[in-house]
Amino acid sequence: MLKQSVKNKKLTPHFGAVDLEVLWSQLVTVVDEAAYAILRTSMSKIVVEARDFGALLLDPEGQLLISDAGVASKIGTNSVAVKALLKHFPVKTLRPGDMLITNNPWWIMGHLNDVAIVAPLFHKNRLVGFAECMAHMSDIGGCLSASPREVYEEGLIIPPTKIMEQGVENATFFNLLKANVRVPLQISSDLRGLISGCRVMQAELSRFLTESRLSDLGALGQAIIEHSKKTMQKAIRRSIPTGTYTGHTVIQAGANPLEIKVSIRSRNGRIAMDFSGSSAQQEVGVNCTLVYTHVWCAYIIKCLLCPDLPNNAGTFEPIEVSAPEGCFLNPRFPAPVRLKSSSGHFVPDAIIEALQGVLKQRLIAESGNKFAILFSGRHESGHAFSDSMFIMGGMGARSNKAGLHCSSFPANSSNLPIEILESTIPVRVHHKKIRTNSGGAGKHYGGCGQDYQFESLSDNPMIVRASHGKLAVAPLGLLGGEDGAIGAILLNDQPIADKTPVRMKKADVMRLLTPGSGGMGRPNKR
Amino acid sequence: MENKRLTRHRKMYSIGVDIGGTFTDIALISTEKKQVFVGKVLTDYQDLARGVMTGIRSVLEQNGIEAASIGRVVHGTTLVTNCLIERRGAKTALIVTQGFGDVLALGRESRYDIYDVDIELPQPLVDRNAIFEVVERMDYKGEVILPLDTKSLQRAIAQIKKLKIDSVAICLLHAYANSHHEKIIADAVIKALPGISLSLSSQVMPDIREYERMSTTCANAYVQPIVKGYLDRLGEALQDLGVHGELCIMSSDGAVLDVATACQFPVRLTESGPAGGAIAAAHLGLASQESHLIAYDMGGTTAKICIIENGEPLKSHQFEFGRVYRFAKGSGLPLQIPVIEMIEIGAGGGSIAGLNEIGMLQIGPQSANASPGPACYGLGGVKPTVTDADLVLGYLSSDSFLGGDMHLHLEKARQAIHHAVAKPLGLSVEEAAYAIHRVVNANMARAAKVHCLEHGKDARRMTLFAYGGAGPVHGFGVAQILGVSQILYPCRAGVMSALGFLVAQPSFEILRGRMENLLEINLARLNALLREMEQEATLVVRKSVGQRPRLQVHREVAIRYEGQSYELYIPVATGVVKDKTLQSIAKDFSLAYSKRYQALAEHDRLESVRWRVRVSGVESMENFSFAMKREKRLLKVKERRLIYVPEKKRYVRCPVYDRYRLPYSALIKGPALIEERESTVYLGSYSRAHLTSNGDLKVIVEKKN
Repeated sequence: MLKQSVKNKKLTPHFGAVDLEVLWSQLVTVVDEAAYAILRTSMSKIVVEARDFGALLLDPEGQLLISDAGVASKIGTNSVAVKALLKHFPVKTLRPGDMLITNNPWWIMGHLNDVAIVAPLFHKNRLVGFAECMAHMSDIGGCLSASPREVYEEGLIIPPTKIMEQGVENATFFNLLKANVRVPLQISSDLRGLISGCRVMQAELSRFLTESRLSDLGALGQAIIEHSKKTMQKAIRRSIPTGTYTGHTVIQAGANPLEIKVSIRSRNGRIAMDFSGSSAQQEVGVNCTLVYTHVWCAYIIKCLLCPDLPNNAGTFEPIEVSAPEGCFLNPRFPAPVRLKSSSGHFVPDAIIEALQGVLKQRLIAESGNKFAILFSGRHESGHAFSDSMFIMGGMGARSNKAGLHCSSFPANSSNLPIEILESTIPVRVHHKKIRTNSGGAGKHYGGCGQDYQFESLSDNPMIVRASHGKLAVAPLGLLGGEDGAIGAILLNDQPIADKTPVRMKKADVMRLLTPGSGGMGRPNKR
Repeated sequence: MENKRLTRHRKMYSIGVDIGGTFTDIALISTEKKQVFVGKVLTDYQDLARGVMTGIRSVLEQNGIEAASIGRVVHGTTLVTNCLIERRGAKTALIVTQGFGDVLALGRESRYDIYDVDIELPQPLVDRNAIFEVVERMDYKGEVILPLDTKSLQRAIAQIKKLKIDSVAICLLHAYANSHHEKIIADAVIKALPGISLSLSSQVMPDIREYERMSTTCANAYVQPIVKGYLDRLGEALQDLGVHGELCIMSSDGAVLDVATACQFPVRLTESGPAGGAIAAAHLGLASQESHLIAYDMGGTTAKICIIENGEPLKSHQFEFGRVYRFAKGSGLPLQIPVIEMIEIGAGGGSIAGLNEIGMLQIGPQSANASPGPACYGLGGVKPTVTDADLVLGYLSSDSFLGGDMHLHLEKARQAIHHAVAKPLGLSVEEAAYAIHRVVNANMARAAKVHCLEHGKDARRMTLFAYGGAGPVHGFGVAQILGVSQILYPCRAGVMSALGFLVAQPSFEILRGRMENLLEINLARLNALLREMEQEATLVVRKSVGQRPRLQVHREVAIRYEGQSYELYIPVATGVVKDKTLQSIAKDFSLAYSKRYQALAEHDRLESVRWRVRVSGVESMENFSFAMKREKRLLKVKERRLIYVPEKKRYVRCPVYDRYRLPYSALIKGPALIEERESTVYLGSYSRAHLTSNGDLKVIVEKKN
């Protein structure tokens, strides 16, 4: 019979500082191994080159213990997927080799493309935790041509499903999935990459527990969480005096403005962030489910206060995030959410604005974010392609130094080499340059954006969608620094709107100008 | 062939010379390969060649050997690395395709630490004002889309003249597929500026991915004039000394090159020293019948880990130099060169221990270096280091460090540990010292484990091969955490790189990036390409080995499922490639893939990404022994010292032995210490050590339970 790990919340675990450090670091390796497996077996460029995936280890109650993620959005600061899945598949019914899958944007990272596979982990026939491996699928079906008004149009919704049952693949699920996506082999391979990640984590966790002579993760997990929580609380007390701070940023101006307003309350080593007053839920997919809003809040607080602290439930426990239901930062089902990153990436700007008075040494002015470019079409051979790449804007000026050129903040990523792009997608790049003077002036200058132009070589029309999110509103300078330049998308020299899918014919030329970024401090002091 | 050489009446010698950060090491071996002589002198930073000469002369004099009997000098140096890291290279310009002058500055546009808002990126080697764009364009198949515009080229050349440039790098888009435009540019530059250094991306490293190729080509250009100047001077100095044997240069992939090739591709010499160490480890491992090793070299400021499989160090084609941040991946500039795969960890004997921002014990990457050095050196250092901890634990001794040449101050070590670690953590000084020792071991073990993992190896099935000043003190603890049951400690651990140079073979590798569907490849073109590559590599190796010896050709191709980004290398049989060959490559790939990742892909569209051809000179390595002479004597305890035994959580009086006086029959049970001049082997509980026939120390770690 399978038993759940004993909760011993009252029994304070005792690990010496050094025991904790050594075991913690070994447990991190367990998760690293799963991440390697995902990296090496996935197909999509967005997973492998841009590292848009994460591997998490959680305790039997679904609390995060370790996370290994190359991008902030996959840290799993408050992923509720495990808890939600357990409502559908009670713990008692789970067996070794079982794996669950979902892409519910309200549970995991905010849009249907992010898919999570969760595996119960067993040691000596007892459930000792969960593996959660997730990645961005470069296609999840749905429409590309218009702006979806509901999540239903955005692709395949995967309800809680057992993708593996005691080690056996659910063939019905794979068939259903493959019938609904444009690049079936690529997507099913990426999912197998996640399955392989869960398997590796199971094997390595068992090995770790055996070698460390632990029967479960209970006491160690609690010690990790406790230590991290205390450290974060201390950092909050040290850096943000008791009080309430308000900040805001504008993502989209005009008739239908999109604004973020935040109020941050610091008290007793805890901070509560509330987004009341931010714009209402939108009819296009820029809505951020609360889990996704949470990621950017927790991420930026960690960067500003305690960047070296590993990610786990304790690290994020003192950070509370709320937004009124129906706000675009906490939308109601079935709001469209596909382009969540094009708005969520600006949550940190509002938080920094709020805290600029108290965090003078670790500030960063508004950044130029990045374009996500989706190419979807057919090669001459008839093979479909669907892949994404990023083109970075400037990174804002910092408290004590200039911003970086063409470096995406807060969401980190890598570019796709031109030579790789041209040999996989029928395009030719004309130029890729730094947009000089696009960084705002200041005591420290903002980083510049870039100017990227390519031509379609495709005989078959190709859908290209460039999404940015904040193209027409300048990234603001801080403490008197000037604003950065705004960005633009030009098709054959004609401006087109952000996030518009374009059918590019052969010889059509697209030019992308990423925004620069804000400067820091008054320029004349330079 | 070999026998003929041996029957020559005069004894001939080969000499290995390694210029390291602190010391220049010399190893000399007779061609009968029976006698090894070693020496060490301080590296002469004023004039590296002079330092080498001083070293060679002293070893020759000490052992009464004539300069004329040196048949071969194999040399490795940190010159290239230092030149790159300290930015002391030549004034370099870069010529690129129009529209892409910012590629070098932009790199991959990613941040290596996503939480650090104050992040800094490494500066490129060539300034923007020395980067010139020319009008031309190729596509990925190597077809000319836009012919080279000579006007734009002449404009670039005029600017280069004006800037008084010493070295020019040329890196055009898709030049890996067609070098034609790069060659025209090179000819024009040479014509206008005779004698200038030139580096073409299509020759330096013709692989796909423009930024990495450009970074590599620039580095090559940047160091070329300096390396050439140095090697010319060294050649002359050797002649002056009366050494007329050939001079060979060690490259980063553990092969030896002739001087001309080294001067053409100096970027390939970057990691020559560590490569020598790995080659020696592989050789010594085989001599002790151990072919799967984790070579673990822990020195003063960093540690290096290298996997050796089937007696060969793993190789890679990516390397980063000058990591600006905690040795983090991505914080250095990339070089695409054939290199022995190694990871470097910012922790060595001199690494400083303290509590970090999150209240955990952190060791390194800050180092006390040689000056002021660890607190126990008594040279003014007040921060505790790993060496201080090892001294407090009794693993090092105040009186026998560096053969007793340097006295260590125990009290200073205790004080430093007390203030920075023991007090804040609420531990005794002894507990804190053990915490430092243990945490540094855990860090090393973690790095080694992750490294093994990246290569699909199980650390527990390997033998740990520990060397370097601090490697032998920490090898035991690292092995325990890794679950490794066997450790080898080589003798002459202090000159491993120079020893490795002596066993390294002439070899040269050429690669060409070509992205194609494997089964749709144009066979005539592919065979022509492979032939050309083989000829090119053969030409290089012939310069070192002459016409007669047989050459070995090894070819492989990087394959992946279409759409993936990581490849597996599949060997390609020699001879003409036919359809059947491609099919067997496809089959081999599927097998290797499913074995490695326990995963199956659903489709079978395979992509070939690059082809590699390596040509090596084959020399018999039999009897190439570094064994030391040993007298027959009984095992004698040098002293008994109190050392910290973690299993007992207290100090226990344990025997200390002299490494050089161990008889072959010795069987030593842990806990014990075995001292030599440059290091000390710490043997923990539940272990036993004996000497191999080669004179190395083999330790078996028993399972505690």
